[in-house]
Amino acid sequence: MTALAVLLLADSRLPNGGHAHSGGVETTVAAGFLSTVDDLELFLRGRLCTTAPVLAGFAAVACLLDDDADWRRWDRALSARIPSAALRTASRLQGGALLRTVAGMWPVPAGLRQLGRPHQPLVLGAATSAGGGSALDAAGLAVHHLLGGACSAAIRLLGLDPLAVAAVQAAVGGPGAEIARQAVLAAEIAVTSDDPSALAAVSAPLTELLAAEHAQQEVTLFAS
Amino acid sequence: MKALAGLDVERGRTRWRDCAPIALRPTGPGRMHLVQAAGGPLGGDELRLDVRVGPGADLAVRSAAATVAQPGPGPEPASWQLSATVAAGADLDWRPEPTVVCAGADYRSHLRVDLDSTAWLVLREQVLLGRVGEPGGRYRGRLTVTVGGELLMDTETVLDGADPALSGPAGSGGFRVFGSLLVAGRDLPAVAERADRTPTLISAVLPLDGPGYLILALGRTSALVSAGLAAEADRVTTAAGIAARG
Amino acid sequence: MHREETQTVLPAARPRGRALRIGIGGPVGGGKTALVAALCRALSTELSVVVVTNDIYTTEDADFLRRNGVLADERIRAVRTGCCPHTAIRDDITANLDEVEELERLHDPDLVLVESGGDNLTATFSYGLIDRQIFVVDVAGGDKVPRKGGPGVTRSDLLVINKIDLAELVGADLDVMRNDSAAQRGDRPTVLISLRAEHGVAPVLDWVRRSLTAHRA
Ligand SMILES: Nc1nc2c(ncn2[C@@H]2O[C@H](COP(=O)(O)OP(=O)(O)OP(=O)(O)O)[C@@H](O)[C@H]2O)c(=O)[nH]1
Ligand SMILES: [Mg+2]
Repeated sequence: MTALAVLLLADSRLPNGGHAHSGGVETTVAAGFLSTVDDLELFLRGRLCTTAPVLAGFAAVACLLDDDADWRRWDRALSARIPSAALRTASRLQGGALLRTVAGMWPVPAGLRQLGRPHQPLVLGAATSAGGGSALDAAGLAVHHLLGGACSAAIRLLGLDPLAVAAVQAAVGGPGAEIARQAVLAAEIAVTSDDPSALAAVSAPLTELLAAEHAQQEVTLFAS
Repeated sequence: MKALAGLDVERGRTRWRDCAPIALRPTGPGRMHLVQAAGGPLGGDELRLDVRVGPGADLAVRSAAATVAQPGPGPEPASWQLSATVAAGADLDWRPEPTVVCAGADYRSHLRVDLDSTAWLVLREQVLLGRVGEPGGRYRGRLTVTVGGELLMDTETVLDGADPALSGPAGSGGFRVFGSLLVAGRDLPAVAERADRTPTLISAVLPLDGPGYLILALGRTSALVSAGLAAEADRVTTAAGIAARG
Repeated sequence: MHREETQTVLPAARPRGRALRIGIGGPVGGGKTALVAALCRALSTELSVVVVTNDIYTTEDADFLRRNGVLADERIRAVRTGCCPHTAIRDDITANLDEVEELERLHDPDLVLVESGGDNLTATFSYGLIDRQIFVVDVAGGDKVPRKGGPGVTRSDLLVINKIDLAELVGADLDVMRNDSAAQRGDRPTVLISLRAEHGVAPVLDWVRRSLTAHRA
């Protein structure tokens, strides 16, 4: 059953609010930095060495934390890693959406629910734990959604060949899995030492800049 | 080379401890210049400066010249650490010259500033990937700021002029120069997120989740990035002035 | 997880709220926004009304409503759908729920109108989001539309065939449309209207009022 629960969390058919977010692809396309499948691959590889370790680390932590942990503190630690208010909002909107869904599927820690709209990786990690998955599952799911959301947005916005995009997503899967493994090691240290500073904190400058630009656009198809 | 230097400022007196290659020179009341031996740091160097700004004191730190990070004899990175505490009612204005990360260099910096909830901080950084005409090495700069014991900001900027992923569309977008200006602590204006983009410069003002805002810029040249940071900073102050008057 | 927590009562189907939530769907350009505007104009003096729009281009519909002065700004919210308007009203309604609930919290409305982005004949609302749905098509799409069916035509609570003022111009036979609709929809009501005509919205207004009464009963 565990495997099915994790697959359920990986499935974009699960109502998680993700379909309306492009993971920065829309604004990167609009600014002229991304237009081909090759660009998309570079974009994904860039995400893997910047945002991915952060999201995966927090998802893994949330999977390892006790129900009565200080969820607010971990949530703040992730906020501190996201300078752009627009990106924090996007993360909280998706966290709230996923929480709404998983709260009806499995028991979710009360401390997390009390946050209202926690950051998405925390909800993902807590849901993974509630569904019986491991910290590595949680970290992998975080990386998977980061890559998958970007790929699907690129297909919709640029008309890229979905088969070529699938091949690219598969190609970056190896490095993505390695990021997830590293994130779990960091998460174990962070949880054991009760200190979020052990978690990756990378933020990519272009991502933050373009997120701010996206938020001030009159006309956008994606919420972020 | 390993070095641990210290700087301790109280109202009306400044004490410091140089440690080669880090040297400090007073250049005015509450004002110090950071002087580092030319041509460094090199890979393997571990340099650290501890700063304390006492209650009600003001400290401005500048540097005499750009820091030029170079590859060392071995694979170890060059590391630079700043650890600062800023007490009640105190101000820290930290704006050194840019850091140039030469091709093949691996440079890590960790700046940590702990502010009292009534302290104030402005902190500017600028990184140039490579000297003119070279791709530039790797830069990892972590910036951790707490205000009144609460974490305000904890981010690590990773740049690598030789890595297509890190200099690509989810990295630095092909720009050679990165700049940031953080303002945190007491008496901050309300800040709205905004961004500007031209083919040679992208800049934005980002309100943090707490008492602070970060101005970021990526640009073709150091002059553009400096001007971009300054222009965004001016906009924040002007907008705050208008709001205060209105 | 502790044992006790596994006994948490799961939320049942969405409890019926005070406000009646009506979804308005249908293909691009059929007149969804015009209908929302007409309903707001007619009802906003007697009822508290709020609107969530899912138009592809975020603020366009909201701006239209604002321009026409039918609703105050803070009573209109726009949801972005990531190029998938049907997903936002059917498969993943979370963003719409967020906005609807927020508006309900702020304004305690009697009526919530959710306008879908223009989509195709198969796009319908989930009843997890709304209580009733109106499907709007127009005669300019050709009189074959009701015969084609699809869940919007067959299962919506009210089918609106709009722009009958254009029927002659586009060669659409209204009787064919009326008969095909009846055949597709059984007991479910269909109205043929022109929102350009004075009081053209009246049949829809009647249906909304009846739905409100039923909802409150
Ligand atoms: N002639 C005529 N035009 C109408 C009528 N109702 C609406 N229109 C016009 O049809 C056009 C489209 O109407 P909208 O209300 O924007 O249609 P919509 O379904 O909201 O469109 P999307 O949101 O883009 O899918 C506008 O120019 C309206 O003025 C009608 O009854 N007769
Ligand atoms: Mg419309």
